[in-house]
Amino acid sequence: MGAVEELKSHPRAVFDDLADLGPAWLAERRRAAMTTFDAHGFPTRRWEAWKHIDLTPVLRSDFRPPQGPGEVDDGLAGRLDQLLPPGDGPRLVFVDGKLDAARSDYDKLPAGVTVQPLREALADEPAWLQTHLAAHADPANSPFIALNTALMGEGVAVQVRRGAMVETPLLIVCYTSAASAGHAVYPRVIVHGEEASHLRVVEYHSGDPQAAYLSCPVTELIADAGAQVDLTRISEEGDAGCQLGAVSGTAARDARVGAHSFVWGGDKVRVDIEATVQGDNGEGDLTGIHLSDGQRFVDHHTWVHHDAEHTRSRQVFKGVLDGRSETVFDGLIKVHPGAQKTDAEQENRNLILSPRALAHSNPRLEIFADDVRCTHGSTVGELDEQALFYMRARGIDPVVAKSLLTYAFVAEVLETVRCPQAAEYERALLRRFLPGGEQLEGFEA
Amino acid sequence: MLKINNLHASVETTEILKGIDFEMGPGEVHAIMGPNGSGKSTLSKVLAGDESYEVTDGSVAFEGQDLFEMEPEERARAGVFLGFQYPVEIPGVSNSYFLKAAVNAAREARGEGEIDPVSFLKMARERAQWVKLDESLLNRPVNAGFSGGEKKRNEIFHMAMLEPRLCILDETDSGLDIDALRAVADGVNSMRDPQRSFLIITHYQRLLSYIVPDYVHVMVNGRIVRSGGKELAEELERTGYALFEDEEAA
Repeated sequence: MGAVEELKSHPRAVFDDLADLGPAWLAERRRAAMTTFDAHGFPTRRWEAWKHIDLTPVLRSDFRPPQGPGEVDDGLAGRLDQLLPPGDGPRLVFVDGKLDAARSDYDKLPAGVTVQPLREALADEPAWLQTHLAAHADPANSPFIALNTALMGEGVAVQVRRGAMVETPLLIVCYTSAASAGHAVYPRVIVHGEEASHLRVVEYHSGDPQAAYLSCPVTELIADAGAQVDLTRISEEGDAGCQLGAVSGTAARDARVGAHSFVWGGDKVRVDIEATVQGDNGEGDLTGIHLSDGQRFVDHHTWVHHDAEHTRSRQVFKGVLDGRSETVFDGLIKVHPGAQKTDAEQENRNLILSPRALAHSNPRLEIFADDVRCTHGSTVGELDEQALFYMRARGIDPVVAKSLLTYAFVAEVLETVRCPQAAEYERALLRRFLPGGEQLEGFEA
Repeated sequence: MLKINNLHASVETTEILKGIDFEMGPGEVHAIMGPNGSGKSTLSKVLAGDESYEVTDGSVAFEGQDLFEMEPEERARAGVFLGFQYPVEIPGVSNSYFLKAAVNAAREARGEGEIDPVSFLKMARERAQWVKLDESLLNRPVNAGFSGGEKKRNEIFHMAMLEPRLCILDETDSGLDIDALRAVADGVNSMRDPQRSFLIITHYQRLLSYIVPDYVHVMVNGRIVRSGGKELAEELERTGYALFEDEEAA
């Protein structure tokens, strides 16, 4: 018992001080989440799913959110305009877990969409919120889902009405400023697509370039029968910032839930993505890209559950590692009993640019039905020497050749990103990541 | 143009080239023929700068410059071109982008500016015709999903765009049907020039019926065992390599 034990009680103290837990149904879920957290505490490296991450800097946090919102960096406005040009769609910006009204703009919404700050939505207490909020992201899956559920701060509730096909994406921004240095924030997003509706959401996670903060965001995506809900999630955290985030998606009959996660930045970033395909002919589509350099740690954990017949899922995650960075891909396909005709694929490819970088790849298959097709592939490798020589022998500079091959390695995933503006933003980040990358324009076949 | 002197090269600890000597003048077409495993392809890769081979002795001068002092990309920009036996697939990178980058790298090395996109496209369309390369392959990823014949045509197309001084073709004829063979030969023949030399590496005589060499060298077990004129290729076609292999063993 020592310092760590003392810190373990800290989230409990924050929880006990909360004046308002919301409506009774939510208060109950939050208390249960806190109890779940208390039962196990913070993960240690003896926990299988947490064995690679060193949480020491995270556990030093004061788990109480910061007092007031701090300043954003000068570049933020420009970055947001790149992600979603002003006027092209609604945006909600949270700074240090609090809604920043001045930077947000969601007065004019596309037909069929309701977007409300979570606090307002809870005051209205619509039935769908009670059905779904904190009903999908399971506190038992991760202590940080438990913490977010118990301590959730402000957030967004999005509802798409039956049959509404929404073309403009919605941008949700979670920015963590220097005011959060040493603290933790718990943004919460819930997106519910009613029957046969379509919506695309872009989440952008960023923060102060130097501050050591902790962000624990959780997003729940619910696609009712025939609906499509797609999340494109870009994490560009500050160099000392940590993010331990989670996304939990559910697809009903004929529905599709998609989540794409792009990570470059932060000291330690882990994104847990769970997709449950619980209706016949439903689909889960998870893709990810992580770029890591310096001493960063990046982790994508996935859980894909097939719980109905004729369901499909695809997981494609690509990692590029440089410096002394370390990454994890740990992905599960679980075919539950009775989920016949499941068609599931999983692919994780890692490209190592530096001999000191380390990639862990751990595909997991649990199959409890006999008439299914499940494929998986996992590789950790270096650039193809033959391809490099071929390019050099045509006169291409070796640095450019390496960057070109690296870019092409990642590009396959970028092509499937559902929001073109977000994909373009990721391409720009990728070019910045690669030496000589600014010369790489227009080479894609 | 090219002067090879006592060239020895190894891969890991196995010596593949055991002392190669010959010279090529400008405008000449030389063919190197030999059985599998004789070291023909190794010679082409050593000339292009493949780092998996170690040069253990000898020298190669290209237009008076020491080739081994130059990186592979420097050799390419100076005008050395290797048409690969197995062209490499580069998924995700468009053929025209790749080629434009290659053309511009050579232009930059000569102190010229970048080629303007319109001229590039015009030139690319014309020269793709030289080897009857389907224009749609310009916008596809380099060699990815190309048939064997398309890959070889693409190599000759790259050569036509880069206008090298020394063209080394490593078994460009292998696996080609008669139409592709003729298209490749037409491409090469339309590039023949008093200032441009060709080194054609092949196992069979058939390409040499379309591209008539000035000199033929027979390579066996890492050495050139016989040099002669184009009639040597015909002789080989009749007799095979066995005779030379026996001579080499003796």
